[in-house]
Amino acid sequence: MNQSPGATAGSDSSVIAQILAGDSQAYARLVDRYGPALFRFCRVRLGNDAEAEDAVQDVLWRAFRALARFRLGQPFPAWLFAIAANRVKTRYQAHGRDQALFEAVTREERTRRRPDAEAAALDALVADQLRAAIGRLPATLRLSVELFYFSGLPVKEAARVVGVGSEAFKSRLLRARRRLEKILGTAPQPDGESEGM
Amino acid sequence: MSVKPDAGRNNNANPGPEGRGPVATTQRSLAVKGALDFLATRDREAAAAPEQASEVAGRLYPRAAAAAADSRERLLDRIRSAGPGLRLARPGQPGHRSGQQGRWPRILALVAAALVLVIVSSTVTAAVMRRRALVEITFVLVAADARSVALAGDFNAWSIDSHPLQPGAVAGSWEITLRLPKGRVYNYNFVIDAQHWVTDPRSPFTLDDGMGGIVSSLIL
Repeated sequence: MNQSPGATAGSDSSVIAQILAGDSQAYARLVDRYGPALFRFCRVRLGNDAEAEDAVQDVLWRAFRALARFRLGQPFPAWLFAIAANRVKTRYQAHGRDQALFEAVTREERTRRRPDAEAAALDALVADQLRAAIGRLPATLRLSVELFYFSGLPVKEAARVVGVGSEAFKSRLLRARRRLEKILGTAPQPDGESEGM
Repeated sequence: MSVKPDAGRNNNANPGPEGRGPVATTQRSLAVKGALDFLATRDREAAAAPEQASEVAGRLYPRAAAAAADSRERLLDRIRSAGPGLRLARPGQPGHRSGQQGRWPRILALVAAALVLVIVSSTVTAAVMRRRALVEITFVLVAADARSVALAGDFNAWSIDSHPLQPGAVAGSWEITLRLPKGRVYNYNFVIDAQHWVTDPRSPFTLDDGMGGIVSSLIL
């Protein structure tokens, strides 16, 4: 099982203290720890790999520059993903119109570079289907889904990013699941919920 | 939160961009089933190990190792290039905020500042009031899910404690009314739940604070 960001809160703080004491290269440990989850978070929102990699760099650089404002002892992933949510939102708005083309190209790239091309093609279809459905969720539900299902943050950490308690977050996920099923066309009709929020 | 996928039911309700032919419909059915399977798998994983980060989350969006390595190196190069000149506050130095460190010096500084304020405030306030130079302004933020909201700005040394907002008349809104001297520029942000720094959506101006953040700006 992957290392949990939540379980490493203490060591995150010690790494940050080390950085603030002058060892800026210690930041590589945080980059390695959170880079993959950040990539997935940016990827699902931005729609292509290159944009997502750029966004990861942008977020990590901004977080580094702002480390002095981080409160030691607080959960670093919650702080980091809050920056990411803000930055990705800005980039998404700026690049939204070009997304369809990017997605078509990168879907083919994703499929081609994997040896199990058939499974990869299906995964690409699944990813596109899910991404389109998530794009129709209200903003608060959407962010919750992206953090939990795609970034893979534990509920506790994802809830901190959103700024609610764990139980409230689970409730949001449940509502999001119901809406996704409805959007995907698999939920019983009607279910008493409207798509708007 | 587990959901049993039922891809055979009503899958044509939202035909995708691929079209409406039988091949496209089959593809979409498979994709929908796969999507629900993915969500259910992540749910089961979280139920089994709620404190752990996910192993399955990366399946749909695999990250190219070469691109990841390149991105990492470019970032670390950028940090190296910035060198020691990059302004990062050190623990215990002004600008670094820690929950534990430096509390007493801050309290003493606040007491000293309060004493100075007591001495000079009457004179300054009287002078300002004589010129009718104070403006009453209400800061409002709508944050329905917030447990607390504070106003932090250059007028209160970016304290997240000194100016808490109170619930407003409109559900989900928070507000605070201040009297501020005219003729100045105020930079500020709202702080939600003592940790999320956000700009004022009603502020006509925002500025880069030079530390990777954005601040709202107000001219009186």
